[in-house]
Amino acid sequence: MRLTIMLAALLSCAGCATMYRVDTPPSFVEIDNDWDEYDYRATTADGLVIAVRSIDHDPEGAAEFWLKAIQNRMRDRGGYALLETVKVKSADGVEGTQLRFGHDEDGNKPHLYYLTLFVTDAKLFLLEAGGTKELMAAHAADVTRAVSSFDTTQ
Amino acid sequence: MKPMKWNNRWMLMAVALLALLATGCGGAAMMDAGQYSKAAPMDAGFAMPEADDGAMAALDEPVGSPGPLPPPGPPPPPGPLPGPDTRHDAGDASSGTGTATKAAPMLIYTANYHLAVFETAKVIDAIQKLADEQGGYLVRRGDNNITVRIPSGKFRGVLGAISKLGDVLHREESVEDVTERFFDLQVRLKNARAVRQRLEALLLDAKDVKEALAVEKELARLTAEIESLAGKLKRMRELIAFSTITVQLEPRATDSVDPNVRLPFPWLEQLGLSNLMNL
Repeated sequence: MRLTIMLAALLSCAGCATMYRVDTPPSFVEIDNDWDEYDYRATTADGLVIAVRSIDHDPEGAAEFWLKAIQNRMRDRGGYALLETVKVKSADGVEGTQLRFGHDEDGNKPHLYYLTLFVTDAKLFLLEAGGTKELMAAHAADVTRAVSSFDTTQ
Repeated sequence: MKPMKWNNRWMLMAVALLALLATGCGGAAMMDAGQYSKAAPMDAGFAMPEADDGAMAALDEPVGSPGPLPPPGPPPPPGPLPGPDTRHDAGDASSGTGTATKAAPMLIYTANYHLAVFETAKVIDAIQKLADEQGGYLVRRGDNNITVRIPSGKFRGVLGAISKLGDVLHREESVEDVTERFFDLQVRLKNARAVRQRLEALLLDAKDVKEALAVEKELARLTAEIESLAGKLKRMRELIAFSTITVQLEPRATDSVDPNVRLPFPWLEQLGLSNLMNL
């Protein structure tokens, strides 16, 4: 069964609303936490998590700027290794970039962390997916499906 | 067992007496008149008896005082340096003429400075170079400290130069007057040597093996003591001739600069697995 979740985020300016949509993959369950910094988050039973952040695109910057800022943050201050950069496209045709990072957690337990950035005039959309390397491999198709289902206009 | 002859008894008594004199009379009892007077004012100086041992002779560096600890204002000129030219002939000390002589007090100067500096390694190099140029030498250096020894007469000037290498956070200077100990050691050494000469003469006159062994035993003990005294005297002369300066260096307090750029976007700091997986 495929659920489509409509998520709304209020813009801080002018009271207008920006909608986006992401399909929660079948093996995931959405988590409804009002207190965390995510606009959307879902997890598998064994702890692979996907999430969306919707950030006002203010100040405005090119996608390259934001990608570089994210890389610097993750590599220099987070100790994440950039393994791969993949071009992706949202359901509504917005081109994005997926940064695939590797990170050893809890000693030497390898984890993967995928950060996909879609940049629109009004918003920066960050889609995150992370978990152990085994889980990410097991759920790779679900993660890809969630990213390609992302729609920045709804 | 044959009773000891009178001749042997006198010999042994003489050995014992000489040994007593050599070891027990460290001070004024054997000091020749006019050599040193505690009552003399310090600024008048004291005669510095000539070194009568080889080790001391090798240390005929100018010895003396760089002057009293610094009062506020310009540093005082170094005190008289009782080098070879300022010493009085040993005859003064040994002839018993009672001539009142003057020499500088024997002072050991030590300084400990804490400096806040900009480039620690460069400042340490500068201090070492300064010591070399002034005829001193390096004792020890670490990543943030250095100890040098400087000819006493240049103590004040070198401290002034070191002060200019950074912000002086703390300074500690001390002076130890070792005049009495110095002369005491000298007299003890002189007496011990005199006794050794007499024992050597007695050894030549020894009548039998037993007597010779007794004298030789005392000679060996006395020789060890002479070496010990000579070593102490040498060390003391070194400390008097060269002042010790230790400098601890600290980087100047500065604003810390994070080598990693932190952009003013809070969400950037929230990225990562730890937040994502904290359900």
